Amino acid sequence: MPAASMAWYLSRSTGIVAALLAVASLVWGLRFAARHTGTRLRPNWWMTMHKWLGGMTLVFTLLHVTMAILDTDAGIGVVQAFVPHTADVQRWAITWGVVAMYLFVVLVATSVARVRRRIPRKIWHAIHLSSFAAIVTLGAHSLMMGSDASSSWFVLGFAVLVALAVSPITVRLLARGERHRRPIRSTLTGAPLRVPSGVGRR
Amino acid sequence: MSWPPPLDPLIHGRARPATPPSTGPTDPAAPPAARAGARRKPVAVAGRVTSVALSIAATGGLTWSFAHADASGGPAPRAALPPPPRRATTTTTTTTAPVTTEPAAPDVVDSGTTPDVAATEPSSSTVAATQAPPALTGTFTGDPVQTRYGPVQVQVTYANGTITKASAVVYPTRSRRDLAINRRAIPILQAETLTAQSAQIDTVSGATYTTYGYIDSLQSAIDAAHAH
Repeated sequence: MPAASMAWYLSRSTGIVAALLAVASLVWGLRFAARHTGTRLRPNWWMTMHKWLGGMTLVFTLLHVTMAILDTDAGIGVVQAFVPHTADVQRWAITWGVVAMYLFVVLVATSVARVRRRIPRKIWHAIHLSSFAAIVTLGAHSLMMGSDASSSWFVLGFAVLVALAVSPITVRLLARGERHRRPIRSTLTGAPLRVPSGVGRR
Repeated sequence: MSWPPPLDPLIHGRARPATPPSTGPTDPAAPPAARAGARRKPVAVAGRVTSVALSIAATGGLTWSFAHADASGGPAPRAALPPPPRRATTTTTTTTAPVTTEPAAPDVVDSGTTPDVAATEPSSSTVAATQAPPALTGTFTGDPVQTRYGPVQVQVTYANGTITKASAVVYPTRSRRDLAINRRAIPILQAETLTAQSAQIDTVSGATYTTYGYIDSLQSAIDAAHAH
């Protein structure tokens, strides 16, 4: 089997797995943020898995890019893989992929504890909201560029991923409204608890 | 979901943890976490290991299925190519009479998306040659050459011994990737053919397999043209 073909297969598979991991990380993060984590697992399990899946998304994204560069038939070089809008072929499709990659890099880098401690919470939260943009650009890239985008199993899987991504967003928004309406009360006295300003509010 | 909800670990993390009243690092009765100082117990180890294993397995499985599908012909069967027209059929009436070249095999698939480059004469499936025998005129179709991604077949048009048109009548269009690569590469190959007037053309970067198939089919078309 030629090396270019193997690189092409690996590029496709790592891209699909990266997309799955990205959606999984989004789902875990949204469920944690919505406090919709159930009782069987502790909330920090969901947060840890959210971070872990995000890191794995970045790893598989970089593998995907590396394999795309090694695929000599794809016409994607280092410049095209890292500089948006420089590809000769399928320019916009590759551009969305490059943008998604940079967004994932920023998201993961700013989520590292040492970096996060140095960033004001509001700014960090604004940066972290770009995960939605990353998912959207990832979807555009996979639909426009994907070698398997025309196959029925890919379209079905894409629809399932969209549903998986949208459902926790709904839960998150509902939980946000509920939290704003119902103040946290003491379990002993029933009196509203005083929460320091800026803490726990998004 | 129970109410009030559990404490947000982020909030919890900001709160200064209460100092254990009696246990210290040297206390043999202290729990292991306290003896270890700031080292915390890893969380979600099983989940992390599972996610890594699933990701690697998914990557391997997808790679294998792609290679298997490619080896077995993929969604677009490679055998769909019609029987190869070995050479363009030519009929010569006399040695000095005009040479009439029959059109290329009608069952050859022409996708219709290949732009023609620098065609200086109107495209015609039948070109009548009216010049002396040395001046080659006609349309000749090369052999279909099977590449890894599908067949490539080239058709060349001669006018007075010069290649005036070279078009890929068949090329891989199995996937979007094939289309993207070949729509970029084939015009370059056509332009190179018209410039070189032979099959001695450069490889187009990013379309290696198509280039090799194009060159082989072009060479067979040129051989067919010079064969009569």
